Order: sequence, then C-alpha cells, then structure tokens
Amino acid sequence: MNWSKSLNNLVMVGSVLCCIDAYSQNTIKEYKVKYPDYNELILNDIQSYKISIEDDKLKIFQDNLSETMILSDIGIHNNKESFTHSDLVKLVDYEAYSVVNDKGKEKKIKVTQTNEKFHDDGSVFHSAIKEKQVIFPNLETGAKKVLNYTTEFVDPHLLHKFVFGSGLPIENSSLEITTDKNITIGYKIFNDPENKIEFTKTEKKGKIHYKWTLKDIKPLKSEEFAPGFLYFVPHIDVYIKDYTVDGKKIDVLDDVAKLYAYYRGFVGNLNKTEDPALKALVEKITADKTTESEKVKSIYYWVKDNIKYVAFEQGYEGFIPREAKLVYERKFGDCKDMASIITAMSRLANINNVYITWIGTREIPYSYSELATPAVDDHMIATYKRGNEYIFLDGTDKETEFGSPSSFIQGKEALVDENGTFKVINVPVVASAKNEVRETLKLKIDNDVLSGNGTLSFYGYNKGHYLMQIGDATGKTRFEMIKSLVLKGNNKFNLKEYTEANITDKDKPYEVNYNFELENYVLKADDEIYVNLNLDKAFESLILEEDRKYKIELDFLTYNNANYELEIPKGYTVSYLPKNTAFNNDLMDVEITYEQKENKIILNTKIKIKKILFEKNEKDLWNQSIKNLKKAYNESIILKIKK
Amino acid sequence: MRRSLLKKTLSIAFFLYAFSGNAQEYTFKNYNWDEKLTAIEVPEKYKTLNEVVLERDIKIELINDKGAAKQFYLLHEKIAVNTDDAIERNNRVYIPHTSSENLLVKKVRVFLKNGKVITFDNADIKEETDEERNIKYSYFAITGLEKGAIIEKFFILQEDPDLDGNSVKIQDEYVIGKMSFELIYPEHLIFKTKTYNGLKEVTVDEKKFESKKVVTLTENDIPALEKNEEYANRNAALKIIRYKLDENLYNGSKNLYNFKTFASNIYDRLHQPLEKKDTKAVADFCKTITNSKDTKELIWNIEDKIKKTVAYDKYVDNKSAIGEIIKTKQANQFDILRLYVAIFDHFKIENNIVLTSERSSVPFDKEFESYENLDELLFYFPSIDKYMTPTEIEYRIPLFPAQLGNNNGLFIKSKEFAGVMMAVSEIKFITLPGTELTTDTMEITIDLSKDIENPTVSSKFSYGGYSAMNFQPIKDFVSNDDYKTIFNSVIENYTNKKENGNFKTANEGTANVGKNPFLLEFNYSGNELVQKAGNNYLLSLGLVIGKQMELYQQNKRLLPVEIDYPHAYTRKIKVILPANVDTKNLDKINMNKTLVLDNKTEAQFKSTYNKAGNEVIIDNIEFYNIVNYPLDKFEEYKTVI
Repeated sequence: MNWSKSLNNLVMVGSVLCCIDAYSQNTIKEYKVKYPDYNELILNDIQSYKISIEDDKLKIFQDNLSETMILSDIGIHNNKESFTHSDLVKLVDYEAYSVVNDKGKEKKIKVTQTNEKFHDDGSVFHSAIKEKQVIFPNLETGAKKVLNYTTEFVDPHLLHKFVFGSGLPIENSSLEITTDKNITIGYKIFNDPENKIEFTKTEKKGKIHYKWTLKDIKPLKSEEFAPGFLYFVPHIDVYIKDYTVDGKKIDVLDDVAKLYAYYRGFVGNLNKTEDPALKALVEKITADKTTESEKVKSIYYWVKDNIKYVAFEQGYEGFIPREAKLVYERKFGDCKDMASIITAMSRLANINNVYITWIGTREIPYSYSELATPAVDDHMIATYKRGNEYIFLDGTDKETEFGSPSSFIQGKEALVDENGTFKVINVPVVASAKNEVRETLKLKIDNDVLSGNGTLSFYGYNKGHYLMQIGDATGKTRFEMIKSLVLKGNNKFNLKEYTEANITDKDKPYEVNYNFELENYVLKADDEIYVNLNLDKAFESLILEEDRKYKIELDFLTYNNANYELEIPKGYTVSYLPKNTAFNNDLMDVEITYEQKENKIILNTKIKIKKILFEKNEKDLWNQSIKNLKKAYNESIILKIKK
Repeated sequence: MRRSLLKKTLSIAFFLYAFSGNAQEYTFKNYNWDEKLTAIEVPEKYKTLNEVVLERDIKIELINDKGAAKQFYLLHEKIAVNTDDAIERNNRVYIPHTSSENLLVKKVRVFLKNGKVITFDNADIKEETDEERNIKYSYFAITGLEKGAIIEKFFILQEDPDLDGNSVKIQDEYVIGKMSFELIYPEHLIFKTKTYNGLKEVTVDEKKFESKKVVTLTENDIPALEKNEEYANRNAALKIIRYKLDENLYNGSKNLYNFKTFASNIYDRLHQPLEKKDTKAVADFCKTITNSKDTKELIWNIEDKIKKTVAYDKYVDNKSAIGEIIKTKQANQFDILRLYVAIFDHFKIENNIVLTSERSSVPFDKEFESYENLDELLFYFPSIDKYMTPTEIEYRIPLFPAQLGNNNGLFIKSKEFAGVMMAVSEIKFITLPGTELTTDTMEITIDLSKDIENPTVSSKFSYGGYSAMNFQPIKDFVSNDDYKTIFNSVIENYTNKKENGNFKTANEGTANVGKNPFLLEFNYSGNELVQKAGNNYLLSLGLVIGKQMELYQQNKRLLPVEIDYPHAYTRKIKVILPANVDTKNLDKINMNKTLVLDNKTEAQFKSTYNKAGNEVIIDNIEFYNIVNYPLDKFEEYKTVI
C-alpha cells in the first residue's frame, strides 16, 4: 500500500525551521523542574515555507529548525539526529551544531561527523529517499542540539503536513508560510478542538506571512489499539490553491475535481497498448467463466496469487502506475502496479467497468470533503462497478475474498476514475458475521483427562489474518503455530493430530480439524467433577486502560461462534449447570447458553463485535462487557456420581 | 561492512608482509554458468519441499596483486521456490559490501516450470550506500518468479581479504542438495582450517592449478537446521568451516594471526604514553569520580561516570588523543577502551582487557584462534573476580551482557619484564554470575478470609542480577507515563487485568544496577482465581505466579538446551482461609522434579505446603544453575520447567 508513501512518510513526527523565534530562555534548572522525568526536550520545532513565483513558476523552499536540550546524563546518548531528502524534496543546505555552556557563555560546536544513508522504510523496496545523519559532539546536561536545513519542493501539490507533536515534550512549535501576494494558500487544522493553535496573518512588503503556533506540547503516548496518530495529534495540512502569472490564474489544489485533475496526469496514458501475452493469459483464465463478475474475480485472484508486492518508488514512481505488460513480466509490483494490471486485464476481457482508484488507508483520517490534497491518499486499488454496486479489488491483500475490500481500507472513501470522470464512493465496513470463527468441539472425560476433537473454521478477515501468519511453515514450526491457534484450557494442552483444509481456496473458510488431550484441567474432588467448559475465553484479556487517551481501533469486526458438546461420563449426573448469559450493546452482542440433552451438555457461545472504531468514552461500556464475559467464563459445571 | 577498528590496523600490517612477488590472476575469472542450460531438474526427494538450495558453490581466492593481497569471492547457487512465501523470501536480493569492494559479476536467471528462461537485466540493479557503517548495497528484485521456479544466481565480488579468521556456513535453514566450498590461495601460504558439527574434513589439492593450493569441501543432502527451538544456540550447532592464514613459506613466518600477537599489539596501542595535557585531562576527569577503598565500588563509580558522560558509538570517528575523547564526550570501541585503561591506571586498578564474541552468533573455539571471536569487549578485575562491559550503558559491574559470558575470551593483562610493561594473554572461560545473584523472589498473600469470592492478593517481588536487568534500568530511559504503562503491562501478566498505576517499585534505575535488587509490589482483587462450583470454590494458585513457559510437547528435540544465564526462583504463597472452610486436593501442590548432571542437581522445581490453622503456606523453589544442558537430559529439563 504505497501510492504516495514518499509523501506521507516524510512527515516525521517532530520535524523542524529557519528563523529562530525569540523564545523565553529558561535555564536548564527551570526546565528540569518542568520536565523532571524527561531526558530531552524540544525547545523549538519550526518549519517555514517561502513560496514565490520565479520565471512564471512556483518556487518553494522550506526551512526546518529543530533545537533540543539534553536534560539528563542519559540524554547524552541521543546524539544523533537525521532528516530525509529525495528527488521531489531536494536538500539545499544544512547546518548542525551543539551549544554548550562554557564558563557561563554559550559556545557553538559544529558537527563534524555526518553520514548519508538510504532511508529504510520496511515496506518500500526502493525509494531513493536519502537520510542525512548528523552526530552531535560535546553533549552534556543542558547542552543543545541545533539542526537547521533547507529543502526545495519540486512539486507544488506535495507540501508536507505539519505535526504539533513528538515523542518528546515540545516548548514551542510553529509553522510559518510566506508567500507572494499573487499566491493563494489553503489550510485545514485537525485535532485542535479547543483552538489552542494560535494563528496570525500579516502583510509586509508585498508578502503575506501566515503563522501557526502551539506551545507546551505534551509527548504522544503509545496506546494499544490506538488508530494512526493523525487521528489525535494536532496538525495542519497546507496546500497551494492557485497563483497568478500575467493576470492569469493557475489552479493547483482545492477541491476533489482539482485533485483528480492532478492525479489524472499520472494515469492518463496508462496501458494504451495491448500486450498479446497478457491477452492470451486473460483468455486462458477467463475461458470457462460465463459472467462478467466471474471473469473479474478470476482476474483478481490471478493477480493476488501471482503478482508479489515489491515497491519501487523513486520520485514520481510513487505516483505513476507501471504498464500492465511490465508488471506481468516482472510478476511483482506495488499497489499501483496491481491496480494497473487488474484494470488492463479486465479490459482485455472486454470488461470496461473496472477502474483505477485512489484511496487512503485507515491510517489516514481525512475525507475528500475535508481535505482534497494528495495527503488524503496513500494507496491505490481497482474498483469493479457491477451494476450499481462497487467491488473493491486490492491486489496487495492476498487472502481477502472477492467482494470484500481489504481490511485496512474499510470505512474509507475511494476516488474512482470512471473512464475520465471521478466518483467518491464509500467503502463499507465488513459485518462481523462475514468474519466468523466457527468452532465445534466434542469433549469427553476419561480418568481426569479431558479429550476432544473439533473443527475450527475461519472466515473472511479472520482467515487472512491467520493464514498470513502461518504462511508456508512446515514441520515443528507449523505444528506449534496450529497448536497456539486451537489451544484450549491451559498450557498442558496436548495437540495430538491436526489436518487443514481450504488453505488456497479463497472462497471457502480455512479449516483446522484436530484432536487433543488436556490434563490438570478437570478437577475431581470426592464424588464430584468440576469442569469449566469455557475452554477458549475469547476477548477476556482485552480490557482497556482507565486513563485511555485515544480512540480504540480494531482491525476488523469479528464473530466468535462456538459449539461445545461434553459427554457426561458414565455413572455421573449433572449437579450444577451455569446460568445463561446474554447482553447486547453498541459494541458487543453476546449469548452464552448451557443445555443438557440426553447424556450431553451443550455450550453455545456467540460473541459479535459491532464497532471497528470507537470513542474513548465508550471504553467503560467495552470494559463492562468484558467483565460480564469474564464472569460467565468463570463458571464451572459440576458432575456428581449417581447414587 | 566496517570491521572493528580494533582489528583494522592489524590486518593491513599483515597483508604487506604476507605477500610479495608478481601479480596473479584469480582462477575463476572466466567462470560462467552454463549458457546453454534450458532446464534444471529437481530431484524427486526435494520436490515436495517449500524451498531447497539445489546447488551452492562458494569459492574464495586470495591472490597476490603487486605485493598486495586481493580476495575474490564467488557465489553460484540454484534455489527452487515452491510456495508464495518461498518466492517472497527470495525475490529481493541484497548484496552488501564495503565501499572499497567491487561487485564484478552479477548474473541472475529464472527457470520457469513451463520451460521459459528469464535472464535478469543488470540495468535494474539499484545501489545505495550507508556511510555510517561503510556498506554499499547492490540490490534488485528478481523478475518473473512463479511457484516451481528455480533461481540461478552467480556473483563475483572483489573483497577485502579475510586472513585473520573467517567462517563459512555449510548448512542453512533449508535443505542444501549439493554444497561445494573452495579456498584457493598461492602455494607459499598455508591456511589452517577446521570443520564443525559433524562436517567432514577438507581436502587440499595442490595440482588443480599451477602454483596454487585449493582447500575443498563438498557435501550433499545437508539437512535444514530450522530456527524454531526455544532455549537453543542454533549457530553453535550449524555445520561451518572456519579458516585462517597460518604460515607464509616465503618469509618463514608461522602461526600468523595468533591471539598473542593481537593481544600485544592492542595492548601497546592502548598503553601509549600520554602527553602531559592528556594526563591532566584524565586526572581532572578522575577528580569528578567518587573514590572508594572498596575496589568494586570504585569500579562501579568509574563505570557510572563514564557511561553518563561519554556517548559510546561503534561508528564515531577516532579521536586523536584521550583529552579529545573527554572533551568531545564521544568514543568508539578503541577510544572507549583507551579511556577506561587510562582511568584504571590512574586509580591503579588491576584489570584485564577481555575480547570475546556473542556466544550465539560466533561461538568461540579455544583451539582455533580466529579474530572473528574478538569483536566484543569486557574488562575483568582479578582481585574481585568480576567483569564489566565498557560499552553497554544500562549495565553496571558485576553485570555484563549474558551473551558474552559462558563463553571463552582472550584475557590480556600487563606484566613487567625487566622494567618494561608487556602484554600477557591467555584464553579463559568467562563465567556468568550464578544463582546467588540472579534471583527472582516472590512473596504472595492471598487473603480469602473476608470474602471468599473476592480475595485480596498482595504480591511482593524482588529481582536480582540478570532478572533485574529486565526492569531496573527502564526508569532512566522513559517518562513517568511510559513507566506506568510498562509496569501496568508487566503486572497484567499476574493480575490478568488492566490496573491503573496500582503498583510500587523501588531500587529503580541504573543507580541500583549491580548493587540492589529491584522491588515490585502490587495488590489486587483475585476474583479471577476463584471459581465457584456449587457449594465449592476452586482456587487456581498457578495464576498468581504468572504465565509459565511450556516447551515443545512431542516433536523430537534437535538441539541441546542453552539458556541465557543461570537463575533461581523462590516463591512463597500464603493463603488465608475463612474460618470453617475445608480444603481438598492440597497434595497436588507437592512436586519435586530434578535434573541431575554428574551427580549434581543442576536444575530443580520443588513445591511443598504446610497447613496451620486457617493458613496454608506454599513454598516453591526453582533453579537452573548452569547454562548448558545436554540433549539427552531434555526430558528432565522439560519436566522442571
């Protein structure tokens, strides 16, 4: 998923400026009182754009200043800083130095050791983004690290967002923009509900000066199940609306139509020539398919199975899909390349309603109506319009079945390129029932040992989730993986045998059939046997913290549906059967029932998760639901010797 | 790959006198793959494997190029990929080399099942440089891969020579069908070789090439050694061949690259007489260190001072003098050693420099002096028999990275000969601190007397030695908020619930490392421990001591057990019962499992109980006194754990 990674990735938390503001010069002592448990503090994080018109073209420079102070002995080890630059954001100049206290005076010591490295972003194989690393000397408590660098933005559509936040506390953070008068900018502020970001706009000597400032920023916290940081960190997206040259206004960005016009430039000439080899392939894989939908599905599955994800994203490669012919030869590509080959193959099958589509993954919180810039999108898919229905085809997601979007774009807006016009379509959130984990288990008690055989079936995203982890593991490794997947009761669980089914069939659930023995689980005391039939206490440890700061995001909705049958041992009778549990709220729908049928006790557990992203104030309802679940899980059956 | 600065100078010094004479060509200069090959047959026995290395040829040749040593490395391999994962493990190729090394030949082609052969276009190779580590990467993605394809790769690299010890892996994570290794060198040289873990001996062919010798090793059907066993040292079990230059018949030099020479060389470099201003800089620095009559405490103070003043970084530039290290507050491997040595000299603390390697990456062989084993640094203090790490900032004497212990090391000490201080070196075993130091003590009270369904649990844990290293240093490195988050998740392992900062810790931070045990206390409601079943209550005691490790159940164990460090647990659980409550099944608590080696109990799990009035007290000890347990003791190890 990578369409404009080069763009979004450059926006590092806690970047940088140029003109140092007069900030209140506290002493190290005062800072240590203010930030007693931090090893380092960002004094200034300032970015400023200078946008002008030169030779009828926009010229965009960005200065970045970061000034941090070491607050403790441990802080001296953070002696490296780095920044990135690339073909689209060129490095113009940089300067780095330490500031130390030399007999009461500030003394600058220049950085002498720098290293250029390539920027390693795990998911992108080749980006040609460079990372400049500077190593600050002479650091001690109270010393400062100052890094100042200037870059030039080659493309006026691709300004960076500015984030007011970091893993460290920040004293002062600001974004400044200076433009010529004939340049109009637009901006949108996110996550500043109390309007704490100060804004000024001034005009001086024919230039317009914009400035946004936020002070005393608390560090970001890492929280489990938190959505992407753009959902909560205060930040600004700025963009150039238009500029005027010789009385002629030239549009850049503002609404979806302009964004689409910019994007079209990258795909307008895509796949204009037919590749005979690809055509032959399409004929082969669609030969026995009668309906359009079946044909699209077979093409989609072929791409998922045969095109591996490898991303080359140097410069505009991050935006322009490659020709289907090349993708077919290479057998690899990034998300754009997969979208390209899916649409091209469909066209070769005479299906003209499969379209290139831009989309933001769930990491990005924006809708097109809030913001219509390339910052909204970081991914590309294909969309098949079947009648009035849109089916989202994401070649990068190997397991998801035809008809479901990939889990990481659920609930997002898709910008669909319908043969030269655009449509914004909402991607649905897939209902929990489609992602069922279905379990049946037959249990017996023999000499204090609980044994059983059962089937575990994974549907939808659950299937993909587990199959991705298991991969092609074999032997002992696979055995251990399956064991942890089917594990029941406690760690004395002894998996005896297992078989798997439907690993490669995307339309069927992944099934594991297995049998096991479990010692030390059933408790025998005098003439009674205690057995807790809740062998898999799903969700029981998913309690959210009381001081939760951020929203809660789940990868997908899920439905656990288990049916356990325990054979009552000969000579025993049921002396206690736990009560049934049922509740249904905004977040969870739960039904746990016990039933005795002839010589069997049947436990049915059905748990549906209902919301994929919920507010932090809903955590109490979630925690209460988990508590109710735990209470139900804690109940044991008692069997007694018949008298 | 940037070699350690400790070694660099030495290697260069040795090339010059190890080689002289006329320029030579390397023998595989015209080596090529079979241009006419149209298909590769996969033997029947490998057809069901996910991934198999059908053939792997490695040739390393040293030549004399106008008096300078040059090394050429050839890799030619054929890998069959039969699953999507196998394709993804093999479709991105990185060839790392230092910037002084050159990739001379790079060829890749793919044989598809349908008979098609795709040859890779070299124009698609990308290059990137990492200046920090001085590595250049040539990298590319292999085109046209499908399940059932065979990838054929062939590279020749011109490299910096490895004369002082190098290991080549003959075994992999996947089966290797045919493996061939050749080491080719001028006939006036003698290389020492050794094979490990059941690999056969090498043969030396003096006739294959004129005035050259060839060390050859071929092996077929080499089983895969997977990476999946817990508590195992896989690298120590791999089949490898190790080699080094041992003699040069031209000049009669013998026993080259021995540890003794290395030791005296490094010793001399570290003990250069200081200039006046450097002596003063050291003396001034030492004034800021709290002196102590207790040697261990003084070393602790020195270590603490340096680690809080000087930033260590393997890749930082060399400093001209000690004064510069103190001034710029930066040091690489060599400089940090220089600084410590000067300060120990100042305080007249007897010390040995110890050079070793991580035992799980490059096992140290006493019998084969390879400089691969000299990458990591420790100090040893004979008078107190303790070790210290100069580089890892969270450790303090007597703790040092456990990976460097239970291993051999090269110990270098000073000795006076006729008024001159010289290096004396020997290989000795680095003993890890034992169970007297690394302890994990739990005192837990479960009070059921007030409400049997909602007992209160109070837990007091004390961690010593390496057990403390997991927790103790954290405080110095994170904010209070993060500290809370971390410990909330630690105690969740015991309480099975999210607590909100409901814990207390003491003796936190590096200030206590190596000195005091780390303490953790928390109280919680233990309603999860009690299950109601009719008129009975079931109390699950196991939960209060946290989730326990369970080892592989039925698959055959392949490797002997090797743990990180010796450690012991002492647990005391007190259960306070309400009046008039009876107990059943207490005898399940009594357990005693042992592992005996050479008539000594080296590992044990023992628990007993004692009921008095309304209190049941359970005592449990568990310990692992040594690091290595033989494979035939695995079943016993499993029952203890």
